[in-house]
Amino acid sequence: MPQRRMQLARYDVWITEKKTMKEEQDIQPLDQDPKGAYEPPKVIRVSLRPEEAVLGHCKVTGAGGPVGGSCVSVMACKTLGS
Amino acid sequence: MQESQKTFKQRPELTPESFPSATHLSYQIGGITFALHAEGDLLLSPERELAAFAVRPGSGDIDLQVSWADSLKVPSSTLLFHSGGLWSLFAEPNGYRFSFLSPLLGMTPYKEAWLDSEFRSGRVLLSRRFFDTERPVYPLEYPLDELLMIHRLSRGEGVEVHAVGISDENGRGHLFLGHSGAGKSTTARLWLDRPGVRILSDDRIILRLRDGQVWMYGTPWHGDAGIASPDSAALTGIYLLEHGNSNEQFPLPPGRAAAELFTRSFVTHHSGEGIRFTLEFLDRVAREVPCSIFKFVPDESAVEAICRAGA
Repeated sequence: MPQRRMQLARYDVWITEKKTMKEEQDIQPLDQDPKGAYEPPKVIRVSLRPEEAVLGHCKVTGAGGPVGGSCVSVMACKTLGS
Repeated sequence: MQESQKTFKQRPELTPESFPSATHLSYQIGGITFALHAEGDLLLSPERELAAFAVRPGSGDIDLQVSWADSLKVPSSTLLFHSGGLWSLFAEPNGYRFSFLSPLLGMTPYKEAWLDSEFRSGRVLLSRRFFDTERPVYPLEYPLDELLMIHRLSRGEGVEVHAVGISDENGRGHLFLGHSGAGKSTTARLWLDRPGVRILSDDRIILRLRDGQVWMYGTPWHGDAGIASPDSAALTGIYLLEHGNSNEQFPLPPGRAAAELFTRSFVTHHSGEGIRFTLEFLDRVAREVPCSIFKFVPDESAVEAICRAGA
């Protein structure tokens, strides 16, 4: 199976090159890092407003609806989303 | 001399009569064309705000056949999402089905929309039991038009956000985001009189990439100020609106900005793939466009503060 052996050999070369690049990065002094000091990831908590985000409620009182009425007639919306 | 958008609004406006009832209807929002084709005796009539978005009837990016149905049933297929309001989404073998019902009308759906998996074509069924079949109808009335838009955008095309979009006299695009009550329509009114200013919408803006740059597009879905325009503008600044005692800007790092943008976006919450694309898209927007919290007072000084910062 000479062809398969050749493919494996190429893969080895690729791994070796990647490893060499990684080793070079590892030994780079921190003060030469152009990105600056490492900052650990932070968890940011943001609040969603599901009643607005899912388009489940009326946006404007004039919105359409069946029987020639308005959105109000369909759903009795109390919250406006605009 | 440049004219203000208010001056423009004082011209004779397009009315539903200029966009009459028909069997075919096409309009374009955010570069995406909706093409509606009525079947049988059904006639289509758009909402007034859509007149400015009308394009020549033909095939669209989203092609929809519309017809009456004698009655509709709650689907028995797998429920993917219930909005808590008018609509629910169900999985179908080759796509999706939206079902619309209201407790005020009983437990029978008044409308259904079937879409293929890529939101390129579909069918809308309106129940004769709940509509006046003698009158033309707009079958994509809120929220279906926006639902179709956000699902199509989530297929790698963009994001709809809760915001007012303004292009200033120098062509710079400002996006002011906020939940209800944050001051979007107030902000739109403050800019309305200024010469050369274009306001794209005071409530819903579509963000897309064009030639490697983030652009914002107006929509017909307006807020209290009633401003809706099919214009577009390249985006140069993003502001999260908050009421304040003075005008102040607080720049945000991209990660925080992307998170805040997400909370003010309309997302396909039932779809991991859709949410993944939306997050990636907003991350790119936040890295390419400066974003800040904008505490403002509702007078002319807020406009001056933005103009000074961008000068």
